[in-house]
Amino acid sequence: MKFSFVKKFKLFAIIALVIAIAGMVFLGVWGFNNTVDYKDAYELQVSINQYTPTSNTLEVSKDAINDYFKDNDLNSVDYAQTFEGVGVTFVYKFSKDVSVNVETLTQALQTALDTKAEVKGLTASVNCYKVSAVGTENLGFTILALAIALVLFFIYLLFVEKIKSALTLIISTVVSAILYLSVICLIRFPLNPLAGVGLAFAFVFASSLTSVLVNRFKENAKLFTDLSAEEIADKSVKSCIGGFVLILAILFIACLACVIFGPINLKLIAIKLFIGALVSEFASITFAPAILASLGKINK
Amino acid sequence: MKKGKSIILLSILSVIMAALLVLSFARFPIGIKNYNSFLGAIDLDYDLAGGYAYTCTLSDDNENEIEDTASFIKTVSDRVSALGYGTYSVKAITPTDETANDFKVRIEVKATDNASQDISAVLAYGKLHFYGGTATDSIEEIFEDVEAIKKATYSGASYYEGNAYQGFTVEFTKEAKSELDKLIKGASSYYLKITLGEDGDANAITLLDTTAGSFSIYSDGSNNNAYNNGKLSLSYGSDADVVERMVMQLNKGGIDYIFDLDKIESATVTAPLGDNFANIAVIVLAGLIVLALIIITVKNRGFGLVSLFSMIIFVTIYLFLFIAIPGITVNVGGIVGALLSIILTVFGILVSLKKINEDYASGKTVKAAFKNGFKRALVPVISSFVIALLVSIFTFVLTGGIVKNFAIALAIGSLLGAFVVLLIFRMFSALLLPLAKPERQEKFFGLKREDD
Repeated sequence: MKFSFVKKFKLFAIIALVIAIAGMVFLGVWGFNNTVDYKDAYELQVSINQYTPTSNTLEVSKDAINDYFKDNDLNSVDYAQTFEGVGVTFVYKFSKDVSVNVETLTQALQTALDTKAEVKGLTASVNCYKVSAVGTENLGFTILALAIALVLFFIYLLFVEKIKSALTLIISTVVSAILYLSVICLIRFPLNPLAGVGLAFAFVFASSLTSVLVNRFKENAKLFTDLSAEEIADKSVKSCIGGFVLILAILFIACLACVIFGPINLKLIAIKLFIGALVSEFASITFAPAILASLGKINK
Repeated sequence: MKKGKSIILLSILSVIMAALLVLSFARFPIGIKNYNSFLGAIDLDYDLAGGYAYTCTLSDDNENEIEDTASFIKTVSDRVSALGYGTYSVKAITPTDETANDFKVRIEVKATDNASQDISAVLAYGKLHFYGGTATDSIEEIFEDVEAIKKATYSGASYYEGNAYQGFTVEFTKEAKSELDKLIKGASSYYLKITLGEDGDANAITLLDTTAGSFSIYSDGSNNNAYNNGKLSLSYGSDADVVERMVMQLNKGGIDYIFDLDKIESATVTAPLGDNFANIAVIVLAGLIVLALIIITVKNRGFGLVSLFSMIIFVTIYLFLFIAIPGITVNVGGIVGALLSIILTVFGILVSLKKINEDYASGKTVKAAFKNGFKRALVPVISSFVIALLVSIFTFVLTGGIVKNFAIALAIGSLLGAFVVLLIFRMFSALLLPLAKPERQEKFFGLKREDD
């Protein structure tokens, strides 16, 4: 492979900078996007006065509601079920006011219930609510915890590796964290749930990849004394990239499985974690070798 | 190691691993009870298993409406979190029909025996009032213009003569301590009462009342003062959750709005992330491990078997620790922590294999390649787990809820992963090595010389 990661660093840095700036602009203008459970939204609550597990109340009711939604071009972004005493309430969540005609839906539902012998006689009622919620994770404290962990890891690496390894790791990890948040803001991906967890995931992933890369550089520097720091850095990346890509490929397959087979929330979480893994790999592969090469030259 | 010894040890370990696998995943009846497996016994939080939803309406007795809904929701969320709930949902609900103006708050939490009392405590109205005096029947209000409590803490259970007593401490602020010390000075004893809402008010809740049991917080000449240098330490012979609720209310007071607590509607609620989220997540994690093992087997043949044994030990002990360590409830953060731990463990194995392959390719013998490869892999593998451990420690200390659960899962997974990669994987490699003849070891472990 003749491609040089070190020589292409300027290009990678520009890409990272553009993404970071664009992400911050989006953040400044629109703020974080959240799923419907973490922001102001609307709920449609459909209650059936009786429910027994052996009856097909749930199926008949859900079918009637889905038919109504289909006929009126409504897309519920989430759905929950509550059981109160002997009745059941379906909760449909919408990110905007859908102005459902309560009377029409109630009538449609009642008609559906009345036409099926097993659920005849049950009563349906519909209510619309405006719901206010906020994101529950404190991202600030997570960032503080990650910063403290990074400082202590830097001190650890000063003892175990050299200062250039420690600096490389700090920079790659911080870049991956910034890129993660920027990408999330740029594509308006919901930050909650897993605001802090997603960031910590990307953070640890980037640190682990970079520490392997840095160790490889150190070994290669001892083995290939006739090569320049740039060549050693490139060689180190190329010998590690197979394993990095393999991990990413495995995660991609897992993410794909979640997107195809999982419920909506699992899809969102899987995609978010894959984004975290992707930006971590990008930060490690593109920034770490360039920093090592530069610091290697300085030390020479 | 000799081949015979290796076979015996592997056989014993195989039986242990088979037993661990059965205990981890199999469910079967034992007598009249059912064994639920380690996996089945893991306690799931509200976001994965559902719970209870409590809906409470804002009372008409309030003088003002709630204008800053976001701030109100945050206040209630903090109070729910202070009671130890990891994941929960707090929402303010108003009808879209403008003719109806009910303001309701809906709190969804994990199903516990104390959930309804907890919610009542969360939504309790009123400010803290303090009353003190030197006699049980003559107490008057103190700390009227002073922020009195710095911090209240639940200090756990102690046992005396077979009975459990729940301990707690109340640390007063500098100003309150100064005022209290003046009140106590020269007194033979001093009694304290703390209420939420004014004492005598119909809705007031008594949080602490040393006058009722004639228990003094201070007795001149006694060595067993409950009050000492600004700190009050007491024990109650009641349930832990009662004291935890009291501690929360001492720390945070009451909320600024009155809710109809006698008309709370409760309902069972399904998991907000989806009923099958936990099951599908477990299947995906298992699939991830299987995929990694297949790739390792294809590339490194015999090491696939070593990795399989190592991951069996990792997964079974990981599941066991989730139920053995008290107080762990798994939410989506825990699942992500487990995912990251699995990734780091697999990554550690891949790094070790890479180093072994390189050493063999450079001309070393299989045994020497193993020894040197593992030695070279030590630093990067340990570094990966060190950063994971540091992140988990500080996120555990500084955050709560989902992130805290992620931290717990990652901490357990990092320590276990390091143990598996650095010890178990090496052990199984050493045990399998003698099984192949020296001339076949290269093929068995998928090793290649550089010029091949």
